[in-house]
Amino acid sequence: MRSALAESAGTPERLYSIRDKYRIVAELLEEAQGTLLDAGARDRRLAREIDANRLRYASADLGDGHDHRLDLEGPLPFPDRRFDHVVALDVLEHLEHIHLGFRELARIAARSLIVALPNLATLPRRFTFLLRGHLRTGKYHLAPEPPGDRHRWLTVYPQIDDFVRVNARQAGLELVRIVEELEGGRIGARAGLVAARLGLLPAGWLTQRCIYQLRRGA
Amino acid sequence: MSMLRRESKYRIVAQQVADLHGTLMDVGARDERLRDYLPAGIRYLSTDLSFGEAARWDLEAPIPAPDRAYDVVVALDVLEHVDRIHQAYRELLRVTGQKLFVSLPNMTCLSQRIWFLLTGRLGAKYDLPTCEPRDRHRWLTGYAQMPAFIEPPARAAGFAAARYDLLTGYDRLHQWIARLPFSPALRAETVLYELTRRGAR
Repeated sequence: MRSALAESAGTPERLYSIRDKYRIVAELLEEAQGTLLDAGARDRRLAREIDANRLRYASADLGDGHDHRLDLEGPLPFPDRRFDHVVALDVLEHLEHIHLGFRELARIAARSLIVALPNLATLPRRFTFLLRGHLRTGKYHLAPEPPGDRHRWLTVYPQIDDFVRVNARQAGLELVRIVEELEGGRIGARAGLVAARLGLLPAGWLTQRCIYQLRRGA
Repeated sequence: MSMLRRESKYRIVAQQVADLHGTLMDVGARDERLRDYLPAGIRYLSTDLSFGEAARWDLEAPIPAPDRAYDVVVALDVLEHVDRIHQAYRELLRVTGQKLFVSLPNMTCLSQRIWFLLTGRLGAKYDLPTCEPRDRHRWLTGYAQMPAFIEPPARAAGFAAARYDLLTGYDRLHQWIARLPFSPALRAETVLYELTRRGAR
């Protein structure tokens, strides 16, 4: 990962990557120490990328098999700043109360919060919607029966930037870094990476996900 | 049964209840626009979250009314706002005595597809704002998925279904597309279902 945009005071660094979100998060946390809560951990995939000697990993999700059973739709059963680092990857868009969910995650993070949100408006998805009437995912389908899980928000670029920026500020967190994970297969994503670094890629066209690194001020 | 229509959803509802007498509950009535279209023989009642003459129903919870409490129930462009859409729809069927009208926006019509291609948005109702919105669409209601959502529960509850594909729309792009010889799936801005309880008129 290398910065593709000039960095200026108060402006978050914006990076582009073709690695998967777990690798990206592991890199963002490569100097972090203390406790880490993986909120909405699913299969605890992130644990495999984390150095257990530096970070004490704990997973949380709705189901069994996790260190904490957590429903992010309401207040979290933890005191303020309970964990040094909190990570929520592709989780918030599932919540009806997405703003409350963000605030609660920020509240229990002592040092940093990392949040990933998908961008459903990449150029390939836009063309799929034009031609086929869906977004290349079943997460938005109006199924005959209540789905067990779904996306409750259509998260698109650049609205996700504004959502994180404003809510982070209100929660007393500083947005220090945005990593845009590019899609397009091996060749397309690499071409996109070069174009992004040259400033030639229109914003959000190939960004399948934004990963936001937020830090608590001194 | 599906019909392509150019009239507004309000006019079609009024036409279909013209011979009925009794109570009509307008669910999510907003400004009670439907009232102006209805014949004199219908007693109009309305409900919404913020205002309403009869009640304030929250469709996220069971409806506080007995089975078949109203002769006609109308929910025009309402269900897509409800997180528990399946429960809300079944509750509307339950409190309907004769006819239930449900309309859903066709978010996969061609004008919406073109709009999304050009802007990466599906309109303000799907935006993610920086603070909690007062109201929004919680479901992306696509034309192809509506029959499987609407018709089996209606049949199970003893209703027969008729569908109207409505070409009307405020957007200029949509009005232009609606005149072209595409399929109803691409031209219809709204889909209106008329669900009639078997044995009712």
